[in-house]
Amino acid sequence: MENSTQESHLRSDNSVTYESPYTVYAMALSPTPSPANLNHQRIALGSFLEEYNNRVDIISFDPDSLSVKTHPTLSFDHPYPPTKLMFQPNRKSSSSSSSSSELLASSGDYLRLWEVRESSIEPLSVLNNSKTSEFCAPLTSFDWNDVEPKRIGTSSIDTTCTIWDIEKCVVETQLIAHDKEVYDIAWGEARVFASVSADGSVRIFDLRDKEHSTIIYESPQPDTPLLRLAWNKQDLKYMATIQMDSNKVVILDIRSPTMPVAELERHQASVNAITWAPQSSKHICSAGDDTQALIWELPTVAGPNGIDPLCVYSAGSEINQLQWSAAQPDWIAIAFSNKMQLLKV
Amino acid sequence: MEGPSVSVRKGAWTEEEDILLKKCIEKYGAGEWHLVSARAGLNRCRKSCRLRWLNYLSPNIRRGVFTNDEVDLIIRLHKLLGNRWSLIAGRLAGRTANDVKNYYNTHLLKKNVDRSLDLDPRLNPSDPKLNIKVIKPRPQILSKKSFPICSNEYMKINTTAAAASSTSTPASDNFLNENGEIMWWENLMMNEDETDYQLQQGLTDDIDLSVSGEQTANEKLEVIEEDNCDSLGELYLDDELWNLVNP
Repeated sequence: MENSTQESHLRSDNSVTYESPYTVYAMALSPTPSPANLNHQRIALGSFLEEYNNRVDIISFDPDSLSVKTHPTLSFDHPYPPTKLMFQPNRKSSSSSSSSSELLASSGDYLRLWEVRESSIEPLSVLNNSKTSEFCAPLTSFDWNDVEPKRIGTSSIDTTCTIWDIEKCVVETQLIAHDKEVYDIAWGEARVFASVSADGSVRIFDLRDKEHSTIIYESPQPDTPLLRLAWNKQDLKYMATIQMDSNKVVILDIRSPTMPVAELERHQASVNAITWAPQSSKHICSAGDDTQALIWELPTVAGPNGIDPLCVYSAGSEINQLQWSAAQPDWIAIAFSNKMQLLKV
Repeated sequence: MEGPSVSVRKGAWTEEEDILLKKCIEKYGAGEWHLVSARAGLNRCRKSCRLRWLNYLSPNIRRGVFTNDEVDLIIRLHKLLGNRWSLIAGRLAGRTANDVKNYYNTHLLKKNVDRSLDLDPRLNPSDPKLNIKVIKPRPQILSKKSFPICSNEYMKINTTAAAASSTSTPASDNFLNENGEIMWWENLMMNEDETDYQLQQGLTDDIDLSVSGEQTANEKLEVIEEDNCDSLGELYLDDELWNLVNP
């Protein structure tokens, strides 16, 4: 084991645990290998402290030695807890001088971009679209368009979604997307995104036709908020969403609007996070307050007794966050209390 | 929304009217506002019934003095959201948008103007942006009837979709937009096999799902189910409520 590896990293063959000084909420896995060591996976962790001053730390995971390394220089202050962190998707490794740096975005009071270099982090921009500087509606989430990487869409509690051109630092479009707070947003392709809201609906938007949106699902009980939305990047027909205080993962097929194609109901408490497998269109992972992370394989025909998970993992406490590594698809990262844990699938 | 109905009562609600409305909602629940007037034996439009219930009669409404915590929350939320009273009230259990707005305007407006002079500079980041035109897309609710698919047919969808994508049908060409891109998600939603289309057309005469004609990408599928008209109506009502509480 390397000297720099902290003792607090519990190890076993199938999991690695990192203990943060803070409660962890936001978490992002880099889609590309760490520039310092191509076998390493960079992970950004956002603190959840109920005060203005919060932190983002970048750590790296070595799947060969099953160790986690901290980088004291790759850490920065963040105003309010980040509601989401995300590394730039589809970064071209050949992109000239920036090959040793990558971009990280965070949402909270505003959308912020950071340049993560090999041994430092520089703030790049703060993207604010509030017309009056007096008010800023907090951002609940955002998604980086992986086809058009200059485009980021944010969702806000003020019922709007904003589409940014992050190269020019200008708003492309701001839409009143829902009747209540928008909680999550996900891109399907370059100009198509979907969002979920406290109004209980999943709506699809097409930037080529801003006059309309299409409601493809509404929660069965009116106004039960939908909290998260995951669009299956391997098969864009499918999306997954979760309701507030519900143990169900709702799988939607956009060809059959309003009627879920499957409901995964084996969690014993509310589900907090969902993520599709990066390399398979049939697998999805969910995690929740029952401290469990469940991996599901969607069957071609649902049996009469519902769908059982493929495997079950139990964490030490309620799982708040979940990411499936695109760079290392054998690994899933979960966050609970002040811990980040990597699980081998 | 309401037809040009003759002599619908306007103005203050009488105690008798309140009782009729309460009894009706106790019996049928809150909702289906277009039916309420007839059910209750009232001569009021549905909007009037809904507002009377939500702002005055609902047992969930909490009246009385705002607590310190509530006042604190109102100030914070107003700082974040501006005059979005229904969003603010949504965070205060039992308070109506109207009551919150009135409280703010009578008790907090003056104080807050003074406070805004020394706002935390962290909350006032750099360049105030150009005025961005905010667009409100009209939500379309797709008919349940036109997509007769249930989870048991999950398998069937997959196989028909696979078949459809392997044989490039002329239908899919109709969804190319001017940039030559496929409006793939709309295409997907319509990409049923032909028998399904005929079935749908047979079931719902009023829905034009014709894919063989000269349909362009700009002709959007606008299918609104009978039942959903009401919820759309409520959306518009919400807009009007919005204007009412944001004069």
